[in-house]
Amino acid sequence: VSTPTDLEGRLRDAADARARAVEPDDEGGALRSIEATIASRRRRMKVGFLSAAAAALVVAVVAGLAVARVSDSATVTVAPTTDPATTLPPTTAPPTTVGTTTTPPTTSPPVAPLTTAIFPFGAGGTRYDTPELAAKAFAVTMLGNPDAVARPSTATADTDVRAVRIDPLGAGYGQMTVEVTHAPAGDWVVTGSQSDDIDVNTVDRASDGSITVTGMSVAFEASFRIEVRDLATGAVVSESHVMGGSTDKQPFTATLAAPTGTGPYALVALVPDMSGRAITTSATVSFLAA
Amino acid sequence: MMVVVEAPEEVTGSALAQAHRDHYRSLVKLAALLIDDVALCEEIVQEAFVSVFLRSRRLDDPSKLAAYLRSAVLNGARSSLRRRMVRERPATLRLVSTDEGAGPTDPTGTSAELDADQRAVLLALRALPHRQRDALALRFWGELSEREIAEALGIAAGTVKTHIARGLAALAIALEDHR
Repeated sequence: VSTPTDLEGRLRDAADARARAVEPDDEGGALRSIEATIASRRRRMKVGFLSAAAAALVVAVVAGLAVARVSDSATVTVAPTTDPATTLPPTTAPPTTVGTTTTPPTTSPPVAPLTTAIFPFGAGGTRYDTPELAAKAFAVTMLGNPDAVARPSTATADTDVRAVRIDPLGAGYGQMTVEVTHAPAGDWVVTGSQSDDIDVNTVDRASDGSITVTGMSVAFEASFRIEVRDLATGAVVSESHVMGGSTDKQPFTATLAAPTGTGPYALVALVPDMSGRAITTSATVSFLAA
Repeated sequence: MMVVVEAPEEVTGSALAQAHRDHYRSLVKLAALLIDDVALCEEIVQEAFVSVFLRSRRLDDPSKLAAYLRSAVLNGARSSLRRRMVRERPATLRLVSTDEGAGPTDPTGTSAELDADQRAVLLALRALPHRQRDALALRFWGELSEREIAEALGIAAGTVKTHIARGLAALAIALEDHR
């Protein structure tokens, strides 16, 4: 078999060979699995909608009862009968005030947090109601860019995931895209970011826990830093200085010592800011399991 | 607040079966260009079908269905490479480690199907920035037009041309010493 000599031909040849080598395992089973997953998620969506509707109904009924009782207290009297001898004295209901009528506390079922969230750190932290707020807080708090400007979010193929472009210094350079996901609890959390200047292509963990990262990068004097941060605390638990390209993207390989935290972690590849206005200009950040 | 619009189940069911027949195999093969683990590729494609068919507005225009599915698969592959491979030996490294042919370190056994040049080309393709990698995969395996690639990647057709040109240039450099 002859091998094509031109690059496009080689690419077609390699892709065709790979495609020929791959056969899906059980297509019928795959279709049944897809159908079952869709049905299951639809049920969950319906349960969520019905729970919200039921909660709204309970609140409405309780509020209605409270209003009715207040109204009764102001108007309940017995009309005089035609026989003056048997006229009853006016009666009044015990006074009721709106202030003492409270809605019984309702409890929502606990919602599992998104397990691959990178920001905000830890449980019970700040909630962000929009993708832009979450992305900006990520840039300011996690990456140290006090002047970060978040552009309006854009859709992705997954409707629960939005992409937010961040101009870290508000200066139009060193930009990155932050991936923000709609969490089950209804807020927005950051699940990754992609610097325009650093592509992380592979992350390999050795048996001793050390981490090897490869990719392509461009940075001032070719130098940038990769950190592993413990997501429970945000603390840096391993780091390495790395050299890539200085004028255009060049390959890099970095090896980091085994992280000392408990995990899970974030792998943070940071482009340092040389203007002194911030700690970094942008970062490629991804989730790293414990 | 996000508004979720569901498709009637019977409509979804027939459309899903048809789309599965038309696209499932080719999408698994597309994902397999980027990821070595075929089982993971199948997971990604199944999740792509789920995400597309849960939202009825994506079914309003059947001509866009293939683009939505391709887009979901490419995004799923990218996310998997970034998030899930950290717990395993990365696909690209597996490919390197099996230069001598299929062996016990190659769980998918694909190396037996590829010669050294094909493996080098795939390895170099996977190392490209994701937009270039995705554009080249759609162009040279899927044989999609620039307009179709633009729809799948959600970018302008002119940008597709740029990604393909830059991707080919980077591949040429990466493969310079290989022939």
